[in-house]
This record gives sequence, structure tokens and C-alpha cells, in this order.
Amino acid sequence: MTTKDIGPKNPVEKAGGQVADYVDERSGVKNSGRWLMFRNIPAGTSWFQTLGFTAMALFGMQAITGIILAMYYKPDPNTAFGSIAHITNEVTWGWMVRGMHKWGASAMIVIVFLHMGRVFIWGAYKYPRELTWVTGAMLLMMTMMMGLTGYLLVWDQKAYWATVVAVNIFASAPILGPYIGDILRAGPEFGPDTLSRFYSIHMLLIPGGIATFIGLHLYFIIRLGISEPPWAKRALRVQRDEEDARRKAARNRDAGLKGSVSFPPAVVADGQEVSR
Amino acid sequence: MAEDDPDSGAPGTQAGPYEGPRATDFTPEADHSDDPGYITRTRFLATVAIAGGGILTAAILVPVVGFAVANPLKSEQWRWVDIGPASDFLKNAPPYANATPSTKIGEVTSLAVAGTNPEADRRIYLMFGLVDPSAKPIPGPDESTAAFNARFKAWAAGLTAADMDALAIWNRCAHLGCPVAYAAGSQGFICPCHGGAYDSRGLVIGGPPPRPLDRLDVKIVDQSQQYSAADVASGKDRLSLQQAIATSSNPKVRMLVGKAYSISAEQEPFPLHSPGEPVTGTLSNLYPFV
Repeated sequence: MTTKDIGPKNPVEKAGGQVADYVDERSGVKNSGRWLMFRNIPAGTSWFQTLGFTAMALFGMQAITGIILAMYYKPDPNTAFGSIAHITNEVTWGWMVRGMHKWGASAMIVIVFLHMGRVFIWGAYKYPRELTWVTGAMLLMMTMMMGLTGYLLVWDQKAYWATVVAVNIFASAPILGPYIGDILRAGPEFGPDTLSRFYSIHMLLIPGGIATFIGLHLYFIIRLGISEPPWAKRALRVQRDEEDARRKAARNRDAGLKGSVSFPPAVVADGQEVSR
Repeated sequence: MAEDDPDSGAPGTQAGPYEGPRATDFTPEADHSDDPGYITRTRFLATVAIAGGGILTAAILVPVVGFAVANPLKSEQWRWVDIGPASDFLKNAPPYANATPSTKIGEVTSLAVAGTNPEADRRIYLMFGLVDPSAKPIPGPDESTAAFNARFKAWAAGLTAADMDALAIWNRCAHLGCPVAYAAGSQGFICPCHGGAYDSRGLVIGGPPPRPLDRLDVKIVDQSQQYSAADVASGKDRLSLQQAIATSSNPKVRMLVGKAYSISAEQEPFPLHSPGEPVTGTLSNLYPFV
């Protein structure tokens, strides 16, 4: 006799399980979720390994606050600064959202650098994780470009001249620098096109690039796993050496039991026991 | 031979030496799928799909990238701009009779450039002054005031239009493009961003700028005269500074500002460079396409 009386009795739980089964049967999401979330991590994994997630979470916060700010911001030389003042002083919690975006930007730069430093000091960029490092370096550059393009949007004197200087630093790069400068500022001098161009780069071009590269970066991390800390490797090596020595000693002991050679091997020569 | 002889009967049902076909008996049929050069239907269609996709992508990307990138690379258009009667700019011109050390020798005028942003302090400074500012006498250590005044008066009386110069200096710092300001007290230009310092002719006297301040071409023309386009192109319409000073009371004598250019420390003209780029020396070779 087969029983159908298994599984949860709570009808809500039962319905939830059925929905989950329905989705999983069609998407395989349970398996993917396990692959994504329930990974083995090496011993010695600590708070230092949370910096990457922190950077990603900050990117999420920047994306959300940025989307909201874009509802009020006007990328035009005549209205840009006024719309910033409007957001800060008049829109409900505008000061809060703008503050989150502004301080989140600085925090993201800081966290990204700390994350890079952690990876560098841990040696986590080594084989087979080189491509994780390369995608991370691309993310670093895109984060810096976010800082540059976002800074101009406030359109006050400091933003204007600091960005003039920054673009001229690009433009004074050898050979292609002058072209990069012209492309960035949409012509030989800063103008209305520069502001809307920076706005487009800041809110469409680079966020798309960052999201794509975060996906790649995460794929590599999940595929290859977190690298163990250098001291864990050292502990492993010591452990391995100790095991090798033990095995070697055991072999010699066995050989001594079978034949004439006896322990310890250091005092054995030509199968003859040598007294010390 | 008995019926149940294991050596007789159909092959496969009875034990015994195998007499069926063997793999070594066949010469393998020539199969195009073994030939790496053979284009199968699948390979052909895959190639067509990739090439077609590439062409379609290019058809979208080429105009888009051109729109975003090529337009800013267009070369700048320059034209002569009439900035006013020459008498507005050629103030305190020679001759100087009875000059004292406090007498103004020439004058600096500042002109805001109608830029893309009204807040942007982009301007040109019209310098009407000595070709060699260092020629101006300074009091000697043991010289009495009366003796110095007499020496200054004699020097100033000897000045002619040939000792004077009219320059249009662009206030874009040659370091990284901040707006420099003219400091009348020190008779030079100071950049607020990184401390670049220039003398009254825009030559570097301190700080990081790799070359002097850029200049704009200036000319003084008598607009009551008619000139052909060829004469304008060859510069025949330009009045010399001497002629301009002599006729500057005529409101038809106008000052025009034209194309910007960079200069070396020796005041040799060069094509306009971006800030940060030296025009002479080894490092100038880093910017071959300017």
C-alpha cells in the first residue's frame, strides 16, 4: 500500500511548496540557487572576504538612489544646478537620497580599493583566478569613471573646473590623449553637450558595463571558489609535509619488520644495522 | 559429424572460430566529414549566420559610434570677431612726455568670451604694453629719487610704437585648463588650481605649466577701406601698431580677434595645443597628431 500522506500538512506551506516545485521544474532554479549560495569555503575565510559583496551592495544602492535622483535631475547647463538645489532643499527626503548617492559614491571607491588590496595581499589573483582579477580591474576603472562623470553633474564652479582639469589630464595622455579629451567633452571646450554626455555615460553606459562585469566577476568567483588565505596554505603545506614524513617512517618500519632493515633509516647503510 | 557438433551450424549461435566480417577487412569509405577543409551544410550556415550578424551589428554600431565619437573630433571653426574700436584698447600709447615712474605704459583690458556656460570664466586679456617689459628702468641701489625720475623720463620719452605690442592672451592655463586671472599688482597671471604663474606676456615664471599661455591672433583694420578676400588672406588689411596708434581716434579703426595658437617659451607660434602639452622639447613628440 502506498501512502500519499507525506509532506507538510499546513495548506499554506503545501501550496508554497507546490509553487516552488512548479517554478523549479521549469527553470531548475533550486539547483542554480544551491550552486550560487551553498558553496564550500576554505578555512580562514573572514570578514575580509565580505568587502567584495559590500562593493556590490553599494553599487546596488547607487543604482537605486540614482534612478530616483534621475526623476528630478535636469541635465542642462541652465537648470542642472537649480534641479540639484530643488532635490536637496525641497523634495521630500531629497537631501537624504542625494546624500546617500554622494556618500555611497565615496564609500564605493574606498571599499573597492580595500577589496583590491585584500585580494592583492591574500594573493588571491593567482592561478586560476587571473580572469577574476582582470574583470575586477575593469570594474575598478568603470567605478572611477562613475566618480568622474558624476562629479560634473552638480554643475557648480568646483564640479565644472575639477572636471575641466580631469578631462585635460585625460587629454594630455600621449598620442591618443587629445582625441579622448575631445570625445569626452564632446568638442574642444566644455558645453551643454558635455553635461548631457556625462549624464548619459554616468547613468546608462557605465552602469550597464558595471552590471555586466559584476556578473562575469561573480561567475568566476562561484566557479573557482574563494581562495584560501595564504596562512591556510602554509598550514596545509606543513600538514602535508608532516604526513609525508609519517608515511615514509611507516614504510621504513614495515620494511624493517619484513627484512633486516630496522628503524630509524638514518642509521642504516647497505641493509646492515649500524650501531650508534 | 553429429548434429550437435559445436563446429557446425549458423555463426554466432555456435561456438567456434569467428568467420564474420572484420574491421580490418574494410578500407574506410572517404568521408567528407573527416576533411577539415570540406564545407558542410552546418559549417556554411554557421558562417553565414555569424557574418550576417556581424554585418547587422556593424550597420547599427557604425552610425552610432560615429554620432558619439566623430562629431566631437571635427576641427574647430575660427573667424575674425570685431571686439570694438582700437582706441578702446590702445590706451596710454606713446609718445610719453614728462613721464614719471607711476605713468602707465600701455594698459591691460579684459574681455569676457561668450562661452557655452555664463559661469565659466573664459576670457581673453588684451595686453597693450612693452615688447620687452624687463627694459623698464628700476631704481639703482644708490640712486636718488630725482636721478631715477630723470632717467625714467628720458627712457619713456624715447619709446615709440615699435617698442609696444598688442597681444590677446587666452586665460586657459597651459597646465590643465583652469582660468588664470591677471594680477595687476604683480603684472602677471596666476592660476588658482595648481599655482601656475606667468608674466604679463603669458610666459611661464613658475609652477607646472609646460608652455606659455595661448594667444589669439589680433589685427587692427580700418573698416572705411575696402579689401579683397585675397588681401585679407595675405594680411594686407592689417594696420601696423604705429598706423593704428596714429589713427586710433577714427572709430572705423577696429580691433579684431581671430584664431588661437600656442607659443613656445621663445614666443614662436605653434598650432593650438590642449593644456598639458609641451610644444617644444622631447615630450612634444608625444602628441604627433595635434
